[in-house]
Amino acid sequence: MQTLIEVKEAELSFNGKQVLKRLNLDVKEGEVLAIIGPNGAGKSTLIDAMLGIKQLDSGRISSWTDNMRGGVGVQFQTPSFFPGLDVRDNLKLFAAVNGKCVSNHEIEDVLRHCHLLDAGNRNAYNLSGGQQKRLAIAIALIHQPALIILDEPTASLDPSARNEIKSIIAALAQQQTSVVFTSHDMNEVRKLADRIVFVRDGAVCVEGTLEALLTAYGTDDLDECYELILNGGGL
Amino acid sequence: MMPNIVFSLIAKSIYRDSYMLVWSIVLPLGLFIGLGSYFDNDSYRESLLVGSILISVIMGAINTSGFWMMTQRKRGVFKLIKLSSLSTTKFVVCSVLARLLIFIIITLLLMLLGKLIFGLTIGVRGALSLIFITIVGGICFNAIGYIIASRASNEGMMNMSSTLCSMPMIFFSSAFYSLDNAPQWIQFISKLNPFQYAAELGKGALMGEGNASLFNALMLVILALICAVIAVKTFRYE
Repeated sequence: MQTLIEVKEAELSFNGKQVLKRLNLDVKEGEVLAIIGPNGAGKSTLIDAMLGIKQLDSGRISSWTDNMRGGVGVQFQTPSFFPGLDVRDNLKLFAAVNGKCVSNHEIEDVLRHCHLLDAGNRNAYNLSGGQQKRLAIAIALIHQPALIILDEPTASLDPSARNEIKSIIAALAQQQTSVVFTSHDMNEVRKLADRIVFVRDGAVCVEGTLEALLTAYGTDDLDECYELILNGGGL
Repeated sequence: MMPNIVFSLIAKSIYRDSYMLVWSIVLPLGLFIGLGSYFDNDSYRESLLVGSILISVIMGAINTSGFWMMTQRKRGVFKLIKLSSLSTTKFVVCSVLARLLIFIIITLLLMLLGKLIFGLTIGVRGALSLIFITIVGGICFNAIGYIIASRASNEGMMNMSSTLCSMPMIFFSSAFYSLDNAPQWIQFISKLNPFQYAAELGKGALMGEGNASLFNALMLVILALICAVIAVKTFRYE
């Protein structure tokens, strides 16, 4: 598999605190990669650094293309959209800023994929929390990027809304779309991730497939495995 | 094709903003018609016309536009734009042009109302001057709004900062009253006030006092450029 993004010895300080410490990570084409770890571990900062939004103090990040602009779709923790526009117009606008003129058929496809068909004509601002998250994911998908990054896509959502978003990610995985997502929900990680990366104190302390991690820590429960890693275990 | 879609949808998003409706349309129209009906004096009405146009522009640019920018920044929209094929500069230019378009339409509407309701005579030079102060003032005040939006961390701070900025600019100008007898320190502040230069330029053009027009226009352009440069330098994606 081709490596889409490679992070080497990344160090980054933010507001006087070192957030990333010699962090190494790679994202491979066609895989679903889960980045897990406690709050404040540096997951979102890592995503910002991977995207070039935050500049590293030292280290290197290389990507499959010289210019990632337009090649990546991102859903940040706070859903990003234009409040004055309805769902369809938001999709049209974000496709256009990525150089793509989408047909109504393409918009319908994405809306269907993200379970938003009924909300297509509603003002984005008036959507429920779950719908806004799904709109943010739809915006990430609309220009058909090579890589999709989702930062806590199911955080603060009710179980039904979580399941809908899980099904979107599962469908992306089936299409061999490269997805990176962060999560605190180990059930979601277990179901969706091909590979898991545990970030603690700004560095990757453990990574591997679900089976590899569970075997290494002698458990069949990912929550227990998480606690073991969090409390100092590393491979 | 793409810039057209981007411009039209950003404009749609901006025009549906209820703050824009209140601050840039309802307030200046109400001010102009209300005070203009009360004071039966052509000279005052001309001055009021200029003041109402500038109120529309400054409120729409500093308060509404700044608030819009801060909200988009907090929502992560600028981060998405940074990752997109469209440059952030083009995105910001689209949003400024969309606002300038609505400011120009309101200026034309106010001029039309001045003629129809109060019988004001606005010549070509006067009309062009009012459109000039709308455009250059709009750029200047938008830039100020963006500077504040880059510093404000939340809606409360944005609201307070934009009001603390726009109100003194209005009050320390001669848009609605003369500053001839004002204390020295107010007269000094007014020399740094783009609203004052825009007001003087507009009033001068309407009342045929052309001597200071070039100076006022030049000062307004210089202050707009300075504010635009600061806005670019202080711009934040998050």
